Amino acid sequence: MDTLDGTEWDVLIVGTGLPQSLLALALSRSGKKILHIDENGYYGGTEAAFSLQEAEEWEKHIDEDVSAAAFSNISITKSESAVSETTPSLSFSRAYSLALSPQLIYARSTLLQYLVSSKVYRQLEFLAVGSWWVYSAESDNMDNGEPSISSESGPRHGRLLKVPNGREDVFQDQVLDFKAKRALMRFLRFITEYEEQMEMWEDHRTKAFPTFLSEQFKIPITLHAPLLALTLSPSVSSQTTTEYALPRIARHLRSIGLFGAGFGSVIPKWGGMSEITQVACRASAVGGGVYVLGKRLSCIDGPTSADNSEEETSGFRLRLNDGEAISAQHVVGELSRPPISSATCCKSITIVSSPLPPLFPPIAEDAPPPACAVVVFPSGSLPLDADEQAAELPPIYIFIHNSDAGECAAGQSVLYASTTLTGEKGFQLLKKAVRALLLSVDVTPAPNVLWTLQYEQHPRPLISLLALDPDERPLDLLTDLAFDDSVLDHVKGIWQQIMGDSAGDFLVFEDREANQGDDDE
Amino acid sequence: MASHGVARVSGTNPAIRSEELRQKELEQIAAYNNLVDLVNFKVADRQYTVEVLDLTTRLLNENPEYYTIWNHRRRILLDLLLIPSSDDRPSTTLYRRGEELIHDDLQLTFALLRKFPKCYWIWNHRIWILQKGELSFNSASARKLWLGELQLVGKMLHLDSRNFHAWTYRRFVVAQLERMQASVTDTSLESVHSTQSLTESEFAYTTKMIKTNLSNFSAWHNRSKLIPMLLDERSADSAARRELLGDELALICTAINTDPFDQSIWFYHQFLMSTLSPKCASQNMIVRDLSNQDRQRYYAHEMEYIQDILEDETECKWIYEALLHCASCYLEIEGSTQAFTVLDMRGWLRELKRLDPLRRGRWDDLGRSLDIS
Repeated sequence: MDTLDGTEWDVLIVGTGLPQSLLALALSRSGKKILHIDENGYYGGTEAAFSLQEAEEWEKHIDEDVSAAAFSNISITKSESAVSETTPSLSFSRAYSLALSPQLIYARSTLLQYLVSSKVYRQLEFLAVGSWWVYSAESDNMDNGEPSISSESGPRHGRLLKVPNGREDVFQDQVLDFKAKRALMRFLRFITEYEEQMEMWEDHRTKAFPTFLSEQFKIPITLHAPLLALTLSPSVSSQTTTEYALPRIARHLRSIGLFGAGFGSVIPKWGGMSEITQVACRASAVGGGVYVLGKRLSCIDGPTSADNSEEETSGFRLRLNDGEAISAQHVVGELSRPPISSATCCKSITIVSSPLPPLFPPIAEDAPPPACAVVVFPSGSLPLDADEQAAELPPIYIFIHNSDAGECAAGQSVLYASTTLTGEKGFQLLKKAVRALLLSVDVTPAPNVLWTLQYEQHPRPLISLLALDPDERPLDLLTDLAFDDSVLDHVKGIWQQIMGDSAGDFLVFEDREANQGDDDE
Repeated sequence: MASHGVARVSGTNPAIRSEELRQKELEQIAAYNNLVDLVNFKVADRQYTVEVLDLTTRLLNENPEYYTIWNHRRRILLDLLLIPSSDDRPSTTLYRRGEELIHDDLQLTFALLRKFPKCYWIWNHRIWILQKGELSFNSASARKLWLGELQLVGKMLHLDSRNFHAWTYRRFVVAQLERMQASVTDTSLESVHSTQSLTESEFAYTTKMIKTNLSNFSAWHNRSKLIPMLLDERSADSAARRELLGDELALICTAINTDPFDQSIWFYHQFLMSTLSPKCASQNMIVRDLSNQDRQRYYAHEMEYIQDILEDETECKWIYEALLHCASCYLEIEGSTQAFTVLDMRGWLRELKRLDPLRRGRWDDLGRSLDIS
């Protein structure tokens, strides 16, 4: 078609972020006329992945349109160190696929089940998330068996302690004493059926989780950090409630072993959730959906008027950014525009010249090699200034993806760091964390930072159906570090409203004939 | 049916069946019964042919638990393995045909074991086949055969580390390999060395399985069986023996402290305690020169750390049972002690009765035998 002007659609989907793309996938066999647009020149929206060049263009472009943007304060720093034969350097731009919103997907997540039932899983590859580490500020004075001589010459650094994944890890741990092991095991036994033991935690629901651990399980303070780490909580530890923490720890522990011994979550290969958005959109296109990038919804002219019927009008007349007038029965997008909201977190993407092997020990015999490691800096472990109250700072999470993830050149790794401290201080904290991490890993030659991208992220409203009298509560989707299944519930709700009675099963499809020949993984 | 907390995955069991499905099943049942009748008839008629062998294959694929059919199959195979070829071909043909038959049955049992890993008859038949195979193969091929079995059982245990059939089979295979090496050359250094390494490697294998899953009864059990052999092969002197005992006690202490609720760990603890008892047979003893004072020290140490656990965990019956057991062992050596009193023992017995009321009779009996009730 030459122009979109005057076209009529059943569904207009605005934006190719993950929720929109999953909706498009859900509608891909419905036979509905779907127009799916994205204002960017790329797919993925807030879940997009960039090559180096795309990241640089993004940095330049995004400052042009500040209003209600998802990202702000973007800057790229390239390594200044001299490039020599021995110093590894940045590879070509397309060797990198850097995810703006990397997430873990837990094994029990319904997302994986839906990707299988909708048959698109064949186009995706998933890699295991391996060890979790917690940073401890106590400096390790016995580096390599030799006492570190002076703390003046080298920067002080702490060490990384592995988080136990279950009973057998606790059994083999050399650091914990018996009392600590017993306390931890009591908690692990509790968490496997915490829903049936309400009396243990009912009174502590809204109280701080660390307090709950001390009072109910006598867990020593040194063990609070690993347990809090498993919650991926963005808040300061004293603000993380028991009712928030328990289901998240349970999710983590219950997922272990589902896909293979020793691990409980996966990441998609090639650039985080962006790969899933692309596969979903592709499936929608195969089903007849029309895709146009660089197209924005400019304004909503009003409802379509029914010709002669007495039925409720249920469509809208809309205008796109080049003046095209279209109509659509349903319109879905992040439609409730919140007032310009302040950023809720700072993120950085750092390319590092080493695959950091000590952080990727094999998971278990015959388990797949890990492609992702999680490092957590608990609140209080990294002060910004000498007199700063470190305990008030939120935790920092760093996902490390090695080159198996297909997001960087071989021999390098990508550090995705995030924290809910915003502004300049947030960026400083992230830099500090990345530096501390690299110092506490025993790698020769010492790894270099090759390239850094930093940005602030703002909360996004959930996608919703355009309505004549909209519900005026834009709900925020906080950027969770692990995929939240409620996103799928939300998408399903919208899908049901669009499909009405002809809904059928959500995201359950038969193979298209063309796919019969594909190899099954 | 759950086995020790691990759900058993059985075949599908549809609660609601459509009429169509039911009809289909009735047809399948009729076909099966016909096949059974046919096989039984032909075997009774002594038709030990390849055709009837194939019929048994079909039947066993459907129902490997029907052990009589395995017996029939062996009768047929014995006959087939003995039949000379019709024309006077050299014996290599016979050898090759025998090899084929053995190979086929190994494949059959392997495929069936994947589906039914706990069926006694399949394991038995496989052993029979291997023994027949060994007779007709030369020693190098026979050894390869058993090494292949070791690999197979390793894979089976990887799929289900608690399958005691596989563990028993593993011990059997290891014994065969060791027997073969012993008979090849008694004086060859190589065979002695490789025999030794099998026990060591088997011991290391149990360590690995335990570290993967503490609740592995069979791994702990195998370990207990290997220790006496291990000590003999190492020609362990008293110091080395004490060191091994110390290491094992430390290992089980860590395990108990990690998960006092796991029964398999306590079983191994009981095994270690049994080796300390003066009533233990000398070939089962780990340390052979224990004085009564040594024994008391061991018992007292065990009781001490087990009692420590009561500070944090009062609802674990195994702890009280173990304390009573250790106490009675201690008292057998020396009637009186400062370490604990009869009141302590009565207290432990009370807790045991509280935590495990269904076995009240047993605990009353224990109280009487310990003379503390």
